[in-house]
Amino acid sequence: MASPEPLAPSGALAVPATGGRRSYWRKLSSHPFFWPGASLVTLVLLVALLAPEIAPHPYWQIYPNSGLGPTGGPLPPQWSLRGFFLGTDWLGRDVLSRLVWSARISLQVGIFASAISGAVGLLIGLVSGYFGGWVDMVLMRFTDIMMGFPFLFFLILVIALIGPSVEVIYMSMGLLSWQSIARFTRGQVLSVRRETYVDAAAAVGGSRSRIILRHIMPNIITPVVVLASLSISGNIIYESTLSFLGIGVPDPIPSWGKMVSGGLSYLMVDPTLVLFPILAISITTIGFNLLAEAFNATANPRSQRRGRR
Amino acid sequence: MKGKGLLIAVAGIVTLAMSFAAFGSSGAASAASSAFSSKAVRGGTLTVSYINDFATLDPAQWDDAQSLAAMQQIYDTLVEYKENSDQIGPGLAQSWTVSADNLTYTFKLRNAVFSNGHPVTAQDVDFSLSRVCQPGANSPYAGFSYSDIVGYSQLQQEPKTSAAYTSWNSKPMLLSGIKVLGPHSLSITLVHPEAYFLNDLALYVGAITDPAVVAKYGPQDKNNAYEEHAVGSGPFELQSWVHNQKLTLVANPKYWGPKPYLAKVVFLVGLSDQTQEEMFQKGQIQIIEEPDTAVYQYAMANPTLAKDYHTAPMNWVLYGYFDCSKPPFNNVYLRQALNYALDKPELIKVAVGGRGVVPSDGVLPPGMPAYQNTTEPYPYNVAKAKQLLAKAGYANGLSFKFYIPADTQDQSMADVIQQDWKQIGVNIQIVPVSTSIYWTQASPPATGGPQTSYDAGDAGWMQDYPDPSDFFSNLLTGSPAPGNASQIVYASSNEANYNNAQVDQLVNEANTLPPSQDQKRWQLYDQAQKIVEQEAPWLFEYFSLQDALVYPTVGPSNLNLYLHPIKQMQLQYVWVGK
Amino acid sequence: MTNYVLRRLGWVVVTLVGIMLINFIVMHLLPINYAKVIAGTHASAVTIHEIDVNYALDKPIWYQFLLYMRQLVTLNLGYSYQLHLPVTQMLAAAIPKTFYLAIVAVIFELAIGIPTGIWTSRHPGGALDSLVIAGSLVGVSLPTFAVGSLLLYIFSFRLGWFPLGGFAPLPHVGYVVLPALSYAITGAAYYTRLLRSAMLDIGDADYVRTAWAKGLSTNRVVMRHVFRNALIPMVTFFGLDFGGLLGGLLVTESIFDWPGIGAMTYRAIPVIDVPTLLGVVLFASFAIVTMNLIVDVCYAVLDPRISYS
Repeated sequence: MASPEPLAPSGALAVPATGGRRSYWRKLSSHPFFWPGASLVTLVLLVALLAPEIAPHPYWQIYPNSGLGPTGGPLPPQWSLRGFFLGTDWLGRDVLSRLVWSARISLQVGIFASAISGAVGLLIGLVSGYFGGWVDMVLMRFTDIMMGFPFLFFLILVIALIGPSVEVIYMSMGLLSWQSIARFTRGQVLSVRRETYVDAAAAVGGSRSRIILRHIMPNIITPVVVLASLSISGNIIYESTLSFLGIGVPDPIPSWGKMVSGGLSYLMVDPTLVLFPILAISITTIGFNLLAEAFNATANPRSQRRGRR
Repeated sequence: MKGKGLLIAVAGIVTLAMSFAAFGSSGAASAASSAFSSKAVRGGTLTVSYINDFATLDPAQWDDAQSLAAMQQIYDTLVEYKENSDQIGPGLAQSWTVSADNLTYTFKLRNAVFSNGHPVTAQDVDFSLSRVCQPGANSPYAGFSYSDIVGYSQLQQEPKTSAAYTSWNSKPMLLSGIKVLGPHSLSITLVHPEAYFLNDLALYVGAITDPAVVAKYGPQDKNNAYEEHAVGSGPFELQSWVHNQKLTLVANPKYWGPKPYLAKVVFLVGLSDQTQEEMFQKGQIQIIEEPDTAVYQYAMANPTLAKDYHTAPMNWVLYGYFDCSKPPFNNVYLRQALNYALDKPELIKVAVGGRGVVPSDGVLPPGMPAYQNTTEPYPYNVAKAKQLLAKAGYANGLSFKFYIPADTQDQSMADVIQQDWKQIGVNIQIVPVSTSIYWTQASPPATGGPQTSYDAGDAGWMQDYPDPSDFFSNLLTGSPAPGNASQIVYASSNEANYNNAQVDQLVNEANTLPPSQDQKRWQLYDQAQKIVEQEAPWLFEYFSLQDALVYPTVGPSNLNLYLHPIKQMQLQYVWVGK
Repeated sequence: MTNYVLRRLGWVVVTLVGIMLINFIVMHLLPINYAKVIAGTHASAVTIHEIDVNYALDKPIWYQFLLYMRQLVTLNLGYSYQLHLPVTQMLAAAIPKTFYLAIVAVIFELAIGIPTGIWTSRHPGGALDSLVIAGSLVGVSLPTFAVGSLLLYIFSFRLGWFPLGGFAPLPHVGYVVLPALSYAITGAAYYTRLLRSAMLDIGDADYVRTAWAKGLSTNRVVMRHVFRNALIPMVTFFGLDFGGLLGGLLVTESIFDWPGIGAMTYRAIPVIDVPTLLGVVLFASFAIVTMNLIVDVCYAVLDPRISYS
């Protein structure tokens, strides 16, 4: 399957030149999706940060005497704070604790992977767009071929050589999903380059790095950061898919994807094993996407427009 | 001496009959009469579900129980286990005699034909048995089973240019110890008497193949094409094999024995747990062999299905292994510590849903003669484990990789082991490896030297026949390599690279004693077992039962047809009713 | 135009070779003795050596790669290490099944996405519009395995309308509905958003206002002018979508036991069955690259302003 790529929303991401910061904030915060999105994201962030405190049991602890009847097996939700609030999984581990720790892992992977791919994409796009010529051509062709890169196999290779870990996963994801960020950055750099003030600075004799840092970067950094942030929810989804397929974070570290794949075998015995992690994923990614939609709409008011009949 | 042959044969039968009694018919007792169909029905299709695909249908490559389940329906062997027992009876050989010195067996073949109409002749038997003995064939079982046939050792010395390598598949060099006496009679001569030779002939490495069919696939069958078109003389014939999906058999109208009730048998493989559960509930699958823990728990949670669950004893040991030939596991205190740190009853309950028993003494399961019902080796004791760990020099803990075959049950087991060992500061990284790679890499090379792929991992062994030699000779011994005494040739499934001279000596002595001295043999094996327990090359896990879910439309109610400890499934006696 | 197509075809070949090379190298860097895998249990050193020679595994990577390329020309993709079957044969068996699933999935996507997208673009801001926006947001937020698991739980397990998995050829449509739907829901959500946004953008364009001014009927304006131009970004996405579908569906096929390419890949990954994986990658890359070419040609057909001469 293809490497994780951020989905660029239609339209430009640049902060509109007119109106200034305060009106931007007012537009943003009045968007119907902003507060719901922000609340959900904050909720998940809090859960992730406080996981060690709020998890009622260690996430790896097996409780062999929990379970249905003489054969053991998963315990359904107990709805009691002293027991297993959401029940246990097939090995007798507390579902709630594992859900809560998975949030921590997912956000860790999602955010770090986005940061890395953002940094790499920014660098490549900047170099490509600024220098142009054959540097540009080579980098862009390289980007094309990297789009067909076997991310899955690369991950398997790295895991076989180093061993699976959370770090390996977000670093691999970050290092292989920069392509569309690079393209976008390049586009932004090209359009900024055409601005007369850049030529003016060059004519006056400004050094290259000064031009890049002083003039180009400030104008492109915001949209690139926004684009990279939009990829967070995509990375979270990708990590959960990898874990679902069995190539994600190693045991005993929990992940929503692993909880779903293990829970499917028990669909006919205790469907909550599948439903709770899916609910958790949904809350997280919907929250991020609501925020993304709010940002997008603020930058492109056209989607709000009333059409004609 | 005269009569000795008869004595050996009788002793063998008595031993087997006694071990059969140990299996018990507890299975039959637990099957309620409504759990099976009682009215025989002709025609119909039986659908059986397995988790993994079959490994092979070629006798030259056979070494696993699941492939046996399919091969048994397609092929015959010279002799076979009788319908409901462990006694050896006629197969393709209608009758046989044994010479006075117990070295020569003379067989008279019945008039049988392969499913394609070709008659089964003595030449075909010669071809089939010689073929699997060719060094080029690399059969995992031929050495274990037929190395005592005259000519076998010479065959292994053949140069790479000889037919034994270059045309091992289509034109093997025939064993000098097998003589064709007529179209339906042949003799096999051994180098020295072997008490279990007939049992070895009943192993499916000795399944009789049709040379005309086999030879079509090239002098070396480099692409394994033969097994897609396997032809035998058994009650069913192969219709098609779609790998990783479905293997289909149809009744063989030319079969020499009682005509099977079933018209068709479909083996489905690789279905997810939930799909198996749903299809079984609807009766679309009639037999689920060795159900996953999840499927088992689903069935038990459902009163209607719980009575479809059947178990039978099986000589099957599950264990973890440590590479004893090098650090860190060449340290016995470490191995013992890790054993004390594992809560075996918890493992059985949590990972396998309770379908096992604690491994008393560690090696020989309850159905084995020489089994001693003592306490479990290394009962769970965290304090003692920590003590031994410190004594081994790892007071601050240890990390290593633990390799497992990639299926849910092994994963669950590894999760429990991981958590238990965490309590004493040992952190393992679980590395699942696909089954087709795993067993290859975990076994020591046939030419000598230790297995080098996995320092620690999970394994298991199911009996070939109920004699302790089967376990010890395959799992826990080693011998000096011919021509190079300093190098050890470890037994073919000795994943632990374990080699103890005293154990070797005890086992060798016990293996060569005749069945009349069985009591002495059991003592020797038991001594060997106690040494093994003390040295702990293994993580002793549990002894497993075998089990299956059987839909009530299937009959008859004889559990041995579905859960035989040696014969897997005997589908020619099975029907599917309404 | 012909020149353009020919040049593009040239690039297709180059890209494919590049992708195959990278995949090849990555797989052969893995620390696994493939000869041992092919030989099977208990193989002697002699057999392993023979296999090394037979499969050219003892030769340097560049030699193996060239050999592979040469065999590729005759459509010989080698033999699966795991199943010892010709990869071409395995692909031939698996591709039609994935194709079947992909076509049904695309039909569902378009049948749901297009009418919804058009309808909401004509009535923006209403309650139903908000509902659709919310729904499509959720659709985009859920990973495929989550949607598949939910559909499995609700429609298969609880309601019993569809089987819990498996494959059956055409007359038995019950088996294809849920797998196709689980992929299609996300896709439909994308199409809805894309179409809605594109059509709203275009609805304001000058040439559309001219059409209104000319007094053309609503339907004609919408379908002829707006929709047709909105097709362009849609076609882009469709190209990526369908191309990716054929190569992917890993997760869907594994949840629903559907024996297509995804299942083939899923089983080949843990074994690192190199010929099978290379075969799948080749096919998937080919599908994507070809779809891109077709998409670009469609551009020229749809938009007379674009010419490639």
